[in-house]
Amino acid sequence: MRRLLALIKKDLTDEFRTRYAINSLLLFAVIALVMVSFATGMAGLSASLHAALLWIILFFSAMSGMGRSFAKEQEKNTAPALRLAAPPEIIFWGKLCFNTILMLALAVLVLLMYIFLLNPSIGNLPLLVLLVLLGSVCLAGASTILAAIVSMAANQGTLLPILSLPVLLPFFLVVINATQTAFQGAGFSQAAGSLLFLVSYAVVIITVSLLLFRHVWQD
Amino acid sequence: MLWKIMLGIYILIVTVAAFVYAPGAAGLGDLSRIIYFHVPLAWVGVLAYLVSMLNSIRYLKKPDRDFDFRAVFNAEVGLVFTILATVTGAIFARHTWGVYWNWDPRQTSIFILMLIYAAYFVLRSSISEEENRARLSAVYCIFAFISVPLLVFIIPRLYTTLHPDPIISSSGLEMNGQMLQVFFAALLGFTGIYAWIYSLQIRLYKISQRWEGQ
Amino acid sequence: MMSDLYIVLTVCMISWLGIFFYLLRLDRRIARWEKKVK
Repeated sequence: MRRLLALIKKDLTDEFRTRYAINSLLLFAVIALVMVSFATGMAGLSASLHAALLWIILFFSAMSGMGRSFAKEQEKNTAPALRLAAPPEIIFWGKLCFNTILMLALAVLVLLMYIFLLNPSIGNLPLLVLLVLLGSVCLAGASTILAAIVSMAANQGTLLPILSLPVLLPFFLVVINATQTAFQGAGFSQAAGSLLFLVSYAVVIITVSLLLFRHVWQD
Repeated sequence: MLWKIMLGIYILIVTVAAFVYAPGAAGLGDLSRIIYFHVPLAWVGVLAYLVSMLNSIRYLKKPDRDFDFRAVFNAEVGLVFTILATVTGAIFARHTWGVYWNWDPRQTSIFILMLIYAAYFVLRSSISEEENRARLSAVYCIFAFISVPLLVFIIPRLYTTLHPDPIISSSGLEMNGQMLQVFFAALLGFTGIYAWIYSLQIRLYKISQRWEGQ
Repeated sequence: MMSDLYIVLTVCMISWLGIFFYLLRLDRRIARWEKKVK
C-alpha cells in the first residue's frame, strides 16, 4: 500500500514540477472550446450537440494526456528500475490512480470552461457533473493499459486513439446519451440505468486491465 | 477432399434456394433474402474473432508462435467476413430505411468489430519485435473483446431511447418454416467455408514450418 | 422485378463458383507442397 502511494506521489510531483501534461491538455481543450464557441457565436446549440461536443473534447484531451505516464518511463528509461521496485499490479494501480486524478482534474476544468464559453442550458447540473466525473474514471480506466501497450510501440501519437475507440465506443454511446438527457433536465431516476452501466463498465474494464497488465509490463 | 466438393454444391443449392425456394418476408419482400447471406457473414466474423481471442489467451499462457499465427489469420479472415457483413447490412439499410448508415445498434456492433480488427492490425504493424508484437496484440485482442458483449447489453436499453428498430432484430423478424430452413442451411454452409479456409491456413503454416526446418 | 431477382441470383452463383474454384485450386496446390515437403 505504501509503495502504491509512493508511486502515485512520484508521478504527481513529477507532473507538478514540469506541468507538461496539464499544460498541453488544457491548451488543447481551450483551443477546441474557443473554436467552437467562436464559430457558433450566439446561436444556441441543441442538447445533443452539447453532449457530443463536450465528450469529443474530453476524449481527445484524454488521448493527449493518458499516454503520458508510461511514455515518460520509456523516455527517461526509468522503466527497468520501476519493474524491480514493485509487482505489476501495484504499478498498474499507481498509473491508474495517477491517470484518474489527471483526468478528473482535466474534466472539471473542461466542464467549467465549456459552461463559460458555450453557455449551454443545463437542466440537471448535479447529474451532469456526476456523469462527467464517472466518465473520467471510465476514460482513465480504459486508457491506462492501452497507454502501456502504446508506450512499447511506434506511432505513439495516433496509436492510442485508434486502440481506445473500439473499447470506449459502448461507453460513449451511453454517456453521451445520458449527458444529453442531463442537459435536457432528466432526473436521476431516469438516468439510473446509464449510471449503473457506467459503474459496471468501469469495474469490468479495470478488472480485466488488472488481469492482463502483467503481460504488457513484463520484459 | 470430397467434403469440399460437396460443400461447393451445397452452397450452390442454398444460394438458389435463398432466391427461389424461400418466400419473401412479409412487408420486406425479396429484399429480406439478403439475410441469408448477411447474417452468416456476420456470424463467421464474430466466430473468427472468438477463435482469435482464444488463441490470444493460449499465447499468453504459453508463448508459442503457433498460437500467435492462429490469432492473426483468424483476425484476417474475420475482418474480411465482417467487412462483407457490414456492406450487405448497409445495402439492406439503404433499401429499408433509406440511409446506408444510421447507428442502429446492430450496425454499431458490427462496426465496432471492424474497428477492433483494424486497430489490432495497426497495433501489430507498429511493433517490430516479434515477441513483443505477439504478446501485446494478444493482450489487445482479449481486452477489446469487452466491447462486444457489452453492446449486447446496451441494445435492449438503447431501444427505448433511440429510434425503434423492429425489422433488423432477429427476434422481430418472423420467419416461416421454409425461411428458417434456408437460414440455418446458409449458416451451416458459411461455417463450412470458414472451416475450409481455417484448415488451408493451418496446412500452409505447417508447410512453412517444415520448410524452415529443412 | 422478378427478372432482377434472377440476375442477382446468377451473379451470386457465378461469384460463389469463382470463390469455390479458387479455394479448390489453393487446396490442390497446398496438397502438392505437402507431398514435396514430406
